Amino acid sequence: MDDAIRTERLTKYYGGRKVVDQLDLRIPRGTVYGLLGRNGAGKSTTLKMLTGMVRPDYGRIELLGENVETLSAASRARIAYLAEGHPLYTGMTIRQAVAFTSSFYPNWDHRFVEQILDHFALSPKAKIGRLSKGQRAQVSLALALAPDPELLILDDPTLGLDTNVRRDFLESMIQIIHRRGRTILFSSHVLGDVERVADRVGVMIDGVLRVDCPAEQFKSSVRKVVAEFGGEPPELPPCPGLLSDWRVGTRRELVFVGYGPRQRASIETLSPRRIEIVEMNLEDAFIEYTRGPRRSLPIFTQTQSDIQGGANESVGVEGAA
Amino acid sequence: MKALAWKELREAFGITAIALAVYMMLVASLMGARVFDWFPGMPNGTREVPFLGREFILVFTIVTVLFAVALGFRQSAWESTRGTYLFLLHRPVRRDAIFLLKLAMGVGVFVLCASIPVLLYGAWAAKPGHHASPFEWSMTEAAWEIILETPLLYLGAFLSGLRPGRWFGTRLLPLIATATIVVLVDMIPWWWSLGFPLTLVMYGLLAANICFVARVRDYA
Amino acid sequence: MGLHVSTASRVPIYQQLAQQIREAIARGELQPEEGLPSVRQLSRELVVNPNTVARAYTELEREGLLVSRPGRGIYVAQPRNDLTRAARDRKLTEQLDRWLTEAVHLGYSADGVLRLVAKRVREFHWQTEGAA
Repeated sequence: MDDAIRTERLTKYYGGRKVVDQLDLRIPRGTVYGLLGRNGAGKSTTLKMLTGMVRPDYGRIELLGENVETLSAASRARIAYLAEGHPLYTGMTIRQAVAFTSSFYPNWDHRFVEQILDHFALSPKAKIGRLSKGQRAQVSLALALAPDPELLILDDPTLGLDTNVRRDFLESMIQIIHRRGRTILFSSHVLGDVERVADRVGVMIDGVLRVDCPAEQFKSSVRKVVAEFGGEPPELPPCPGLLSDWRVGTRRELVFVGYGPRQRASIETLSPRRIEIVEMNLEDAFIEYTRGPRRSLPIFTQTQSDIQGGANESVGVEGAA
Repeated sequence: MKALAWKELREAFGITAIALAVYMMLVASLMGARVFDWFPGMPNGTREVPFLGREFILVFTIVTVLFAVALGFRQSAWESTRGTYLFLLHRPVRRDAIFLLKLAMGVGVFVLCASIPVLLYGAWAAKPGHHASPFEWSMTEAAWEIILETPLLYLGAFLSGLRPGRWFGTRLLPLIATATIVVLVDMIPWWWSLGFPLTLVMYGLLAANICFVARVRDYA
Repeated sequence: MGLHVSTASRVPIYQQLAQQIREAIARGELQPEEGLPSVRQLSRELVVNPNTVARAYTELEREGLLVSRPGRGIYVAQPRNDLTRAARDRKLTEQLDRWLTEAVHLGYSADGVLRLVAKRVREFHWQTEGAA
C-alpha cells in the first residue's frame, strides 16, 4: 500500500515492435516522479497503460493498491489523468466543460476552479476550441485538480507551451506538491522542468527504463565514457544508466547516468584499448540523446542517397570526427 | 450520467438538424409544395398514394440510412480523431455505461427524429380532402419497419468508427455486415412477429460487441 | 538575498541554493539571527520542489550555518566560535590541500596560485574585518 504506482514486467507491442519492455516501475506515495524520454520512447504508452487507455500485452499494474483492470469508479475518481495535448470537447464553453466534468465527482471544489479561471483571466463563456494551447492546458489542469485527486498522471503537460505559460504550469505543479501526500507522475521532454519539480527521475529509452534515480543524484552523475578500440568497435549490451551509445570511427562514445563499477565492468568485457571518462553537462548529454541514437550527418556530406538510405552514415561521422 | 446524455444530445444536434430539414422538405413536397424541386430525387405533387408510392419509400430510405450512418460515426470516430476518448474514459464511470448511454441516446434521437416525418405525413393524409385515395394508418407499416431496422446500420457505423483498423476497408466490415443483415431482416415475412424480435436481438448483440471492443481496444 | 536557480548548470539545484546561502552569509548579506524564507515560500518563488529547498536547508543546518527553531522558522546561526584556532586551521588546510591538488592538475604553478588567491581575496567582500 506504500506505492501509489507499481508495475510488474509491463510490456506492450505495437505491430511487432516492443514499445514498452518489461517495465518495473515503483512510485511511492508522495513522490513526484519525472519521466524523461525521446518521442516514441514509450512514455506516453506507459502512462496510457497506467490509466487503462491501452491494454498491456503482458504484466500487471497497481494504482493506489488496486489492479488497474478492475479499478473501481471510486478509485478512478481519486486519480487525475492529463492526456497529451490536453484533449477537451472543443464545442463546449469553459462553463459547460466544468459542469460536464464536475457531474462525475462526489467532491468537486467549485471555488478552486473559479480561482484558477480567475487567476488566468479565463472567461467561463469562452469556447474551449478558441483557447490557446496554454489556456487549454490551464483549464484541463483545473478540471483535473478540482476533485482533489491523490494521484496525478500527467502526459507531457507542458508540451507545446511557450516559456511563460510553461512556468505558470510548473508553478501550479509546485502548488499541488505543497498539498501533502500527492503523488505525481509526469512525463516530459524538458530536462530543466523535471529537475525543478521531480523528486525522482526516470529515463526511458526504446521502451526500457534505463535510469531511475533521485533527482539530485541524476544530474551530477552523468559521465561520458570514450572507449577506444583498435578497429571496428563492438556493440555494448544494454546496461543500466546508459543514455546513449555512438560509434565514432574506432571509438565508442557512451553517456551514462550513474557511472559505476558495474558499468565499467560492462565496458571492459569488450576489452577496449583505452577508456577515458569525461564529466559532462547533463543538458548537453540530454540534447545529444534526444537527437537520436545515430549522430546526424554534417550538412556538407548529406547527399540525397544519405538521407534516403542512411546506411553509409558512418562515413560522414568518421569524416567529422 | 445526465451530463453525459446532454453531451451526446448536443453532439448529435448538427446531424439531426440536417436530417430533420431534409425530412421536412420531403414531407412538404409530398403535401404538394413545389419549392424543393431542385433537390435531387425529391418527389413532387400529391399524385402518390401516401406511404405506398415508390418515391416516398426511396427518398425516405436514403435519407434515413445516411442519417443513421452519419450519427454512428459522429458518436464514435469523432472522439477517436479528437483524442477526447482519453478525457471521457478516465471519468469515474464504468466504460460499458458510457458506451451504452451513447448508444441509447443515438438510437433514441434517431428513432424520434425519423418518426416525425411519418407522423406528420400520416396526419396530413388522414385528414379528408387532402388526398384522393383513402388512407389507413396501417399503410405506414413499411415506413416503421425502416425506422426500426436502420438503427442496426447506426450500430454498425458506430462499431466501424470505434474499431481501430489498420485499413479503412476492414474497418468498414461491421457496417457492411449490418447492411447485409438489414436487407435480410427486411425480407422476413410476418415482420412484427418475427422480423422485429430478430432486429431487437441484433441490437443487443451489436451493443454487446461495441462494449467489448470499447473495453479491449487501445486508445493510443 | 537574491537566490536563483539554473537548470543549465551541472550543479544540482539543492547545492546551488546551499552555496548561494553560504556565500551570502560569508559576505554579510545575511546577518546572524536573520530569518530565511520558509521552505514553502522559497519553493513557490523559485518554482522548485519543496524537498529540494528543504534539502539545502538541512545541509546548511548540519554545517552549523543555519538553525531551525521549530514553530518559528529558519535563521542564520551565530558564527561558530566553538572550534579552537588549531581546529579551524586544520579544517581550512584540509580543504586547501584538496584545492591545491586540483590546481596542480590544472597546470598551475605556485606563483600562479598565489596570484589568483590574492586577486580573489581582494574581490571578496569580507564580512568581519581582521578576522583570523
